[in-house]
Amino acid sequence: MKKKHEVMKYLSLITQIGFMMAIPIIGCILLGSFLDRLLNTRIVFLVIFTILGTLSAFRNLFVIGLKKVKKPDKKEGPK
Amino acid sequence: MDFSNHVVTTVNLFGFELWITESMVNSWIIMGILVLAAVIIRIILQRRTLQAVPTGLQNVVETIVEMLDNFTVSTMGEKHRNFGPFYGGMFIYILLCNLSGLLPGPKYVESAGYIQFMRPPTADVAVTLALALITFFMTQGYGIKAKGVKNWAKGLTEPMWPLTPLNVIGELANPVSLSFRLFGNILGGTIIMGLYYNLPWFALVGIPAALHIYFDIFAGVLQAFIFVMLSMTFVSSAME
Amino acid sequence: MDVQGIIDFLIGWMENVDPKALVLAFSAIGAGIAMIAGIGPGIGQGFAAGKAAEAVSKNPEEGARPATIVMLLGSAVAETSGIFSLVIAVIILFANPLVNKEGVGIVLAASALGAGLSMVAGIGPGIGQGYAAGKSAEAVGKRPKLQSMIVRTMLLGQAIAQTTGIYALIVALILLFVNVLK
Repeated sequence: MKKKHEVMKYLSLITQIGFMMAIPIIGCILLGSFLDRLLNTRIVFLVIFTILGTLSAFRNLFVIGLKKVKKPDKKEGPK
Repeated sequence: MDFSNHVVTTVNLFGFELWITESMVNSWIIMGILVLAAVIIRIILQRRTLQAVPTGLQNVVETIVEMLDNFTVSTMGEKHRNFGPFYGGMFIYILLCNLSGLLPGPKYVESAGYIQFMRPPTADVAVTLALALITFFMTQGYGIKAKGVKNWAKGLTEPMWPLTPLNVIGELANPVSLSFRLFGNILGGTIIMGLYYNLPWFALVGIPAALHIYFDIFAGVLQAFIFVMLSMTFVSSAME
Repeated sequence: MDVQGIIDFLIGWMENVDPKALVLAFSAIGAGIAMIAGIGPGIGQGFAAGKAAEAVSKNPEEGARPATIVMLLGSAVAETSGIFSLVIAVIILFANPLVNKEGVGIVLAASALGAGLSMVAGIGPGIGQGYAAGKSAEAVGKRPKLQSMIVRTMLLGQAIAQTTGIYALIVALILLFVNVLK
């Protein structure tokens, strides 16, 4: 049963990484443009939030990727 | 062809107008089935004496419970075994919701065709968002409970303090991505099956069975599995 | 008929059509063109799968599981370009933000088309990241103990490769949601 769950866990990565990278970018761009419309600045908030969203997407990529690789090592250690 | 979420009735409550939509009624039907099954099984099992080596109905029920508990333990570790009942219940609920596209259901709108399948409650972004928000609050709540408020707040500033907004956005992206994945998959399956049933009669013999197996059964089971597993991963990694 | 005459005729026709229909028409084309980006991840993930299979055959006892894990991880990153295109296509089809905007009809229509066209850039990262995944799987198959170091390098490289895909996504989103081309 353990082997089957391992493969399932990694298969779920395929959509997980994609969504976790796309959603911060989309959310931040929408948020940035909404704040711009609200506060009537030109594109200041849009640019700030876009950069934040992109960096957040990359951070998600690294956290998910490295967590998946570190976990097997950690599991086989203290057990 | 109309795939939207129809409003069944509206209820006027304290001056607000509440819409009771199709997803809510279907969700209540599924909850009703689950509660009824649970109560019936409990009554039957209480009449007999529980045996050490189970047979019959007790065997089936124990197998299911053990499978769900093992699934929880294998993802979260042995010491979080008490999450088993919660995630088992969530898994069965999401599984039945996803598979409810196979069952014939009540006709809410007069303009529908001959066969009226139930619209899965999880094809509504409100339902999946609610489930994802449960996960989100559980993650933050159990994280605070296990680590204390200070350590949890400090965890958001790792590994360097300028990364704090990125960590916050990343944490918020977790439930959003959970909800959209489940919603997108189930709604996509519903739309494809709805479109297919509008073809002429010779395309409706035999092939819908294969399509249902892929879109409804396989995708439904896989998505329920992935949702519960990811939810468990988030909660367990917040508590470590 | 000279070229100038034909172009004037086409643009004149487009200005007389109901703007909403024009936007919807070009949205349909844009959504379709956006999915051409599926070429990239297809090639890349195929290469990764092939290299991983070869790695498993070369070192079956120790290297099989790490190689498979690295291949799945790398393929998941290669898939992101496809998911970006899918998200843009779904937004254009189901939650089209340009349909109800006021503005010049042909500019809104061209924005929808441009958003779809911009996502074709996903072909590049798809192929490149798949190549990286394949070579990493091969390397991990040869020396499974170095898995975490190899994966770290692979992720760094794939993140750099992803940047142009992200620029394309940003431009597409700005075209759709932010009112820049007034």
